[in-house]
Amino acid sequence: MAKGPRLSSLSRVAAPARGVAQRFGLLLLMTAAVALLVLGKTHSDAIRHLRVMAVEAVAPVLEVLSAPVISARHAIAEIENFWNTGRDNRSLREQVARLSKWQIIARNLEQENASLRALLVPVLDPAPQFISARVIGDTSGLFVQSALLNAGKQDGVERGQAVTTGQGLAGRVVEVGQRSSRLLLLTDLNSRVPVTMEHSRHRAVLAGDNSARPRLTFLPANANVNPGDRVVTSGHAGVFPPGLPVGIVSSVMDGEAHIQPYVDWARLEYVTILRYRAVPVGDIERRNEAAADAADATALDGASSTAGTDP
Amino acid sequence: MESSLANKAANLVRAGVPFSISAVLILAAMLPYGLPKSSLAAPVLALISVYYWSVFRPELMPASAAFLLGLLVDVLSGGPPGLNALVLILVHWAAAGQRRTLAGKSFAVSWLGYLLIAAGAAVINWFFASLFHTTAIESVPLVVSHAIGTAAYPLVALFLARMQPLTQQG
Repeated sequence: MAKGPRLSSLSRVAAPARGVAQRFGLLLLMTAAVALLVLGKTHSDAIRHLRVMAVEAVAPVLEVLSAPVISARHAIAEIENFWNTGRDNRSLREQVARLSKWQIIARNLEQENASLRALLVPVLDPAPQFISARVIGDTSGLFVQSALLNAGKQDGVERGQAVTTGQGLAGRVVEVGQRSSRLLLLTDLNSRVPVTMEHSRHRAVLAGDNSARPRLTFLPANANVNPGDRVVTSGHAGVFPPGLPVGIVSSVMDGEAHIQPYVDWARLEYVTILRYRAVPVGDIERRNEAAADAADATALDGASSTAGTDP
Repeated sequence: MESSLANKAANLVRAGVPFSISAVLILAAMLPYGLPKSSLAAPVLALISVYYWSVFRPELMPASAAFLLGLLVDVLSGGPPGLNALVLILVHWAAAGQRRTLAGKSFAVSWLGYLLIAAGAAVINWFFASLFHTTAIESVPLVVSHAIGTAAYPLVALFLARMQPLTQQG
């Protein structure tokens, strides 16, 4: 409020000129902002490129600032762990007892599966390779649900790759810089994930709507979907590996099913980026190479048109 | 001679305080706290900060600074590019234009001013976002974030008022 003498004398001399410049400047800046909005719509690729470069410049700052935040979160989690040790111990013992039975069943199924596979020679999906990354920015806004990761091109990250946590699918990579990338969450308005109902095998597309519970679209009319049904990726379109856990049907109302994702968004700290490439159907020789070296596989777009390798 | 050079440097630093504080607030809001919706604070803090400085130190928060801060929010959030830039320029324009009414009087007046100008900002935000996505965007989150912003204004304004001496010549 109290201007210094220097500033006031300067403004007295330059006031008229500044008035004009300010008015024009305001108009110019408003035009620039509107032009950006229009370009964002008409030349979204170019704008995305610019945004990636800008994020690249800010990412190191976020990376440094986010480190103490992550440490604090770990410290709080440690204290929580300490308090819950007794209860956790009890529930883990129960789980071990329950899961040991499952382990026996799984071993039997694994053997049976292997022997049946040997008879059939099915086309197998290449095993995905992993890139681990840390979340350095929670950038979800009113219209876009995204996060920034500290891995980029130099780590092998590419657009379209699936991003998971230990719990399930979190989303996909939409922007890649040299050292950073943007993860578009499942819940974003623009997120579309081809999924399968784990039991009925009905296919659908999981569409984000900016709410915490994305909805199932393109579900066949005869599909019987019930709350509690598990949903996994279908692998169609070749972007995501099939069988990744996505979530549980939380509600079915008027034929519209919503999914509760497995990922706990509050615990999104470290994520796994899957370097996965679907292999064209019938190309069994190539699949072995691809499995050995997923990095050298064909371009994502080339593979996606022929993907969909359900036996 | 030397002291005047040091003076100029100090002035430059002082002039950069409002912009820097706003930028730090935006970045800090977007750190991964693991709290739901915590990042929604970023555009709200940007709005409060631009409003506050436009009212109380308009010469240190020019339209170009408001534009850059909006761009920072847009770039980081990945939302419609230029949307927050446009909104913050208009907030700056409205707040700086009415500063005689808003600055001198009681705190309640500047708070009310924020309520009105931020409401206008929310409407413009909604309009251009809907235009950009070519669909009527859900307005409830905007209304909620406007309400939270208005409720949080006194706290943030108190913090910014504490910072204000940094912008004055010592």
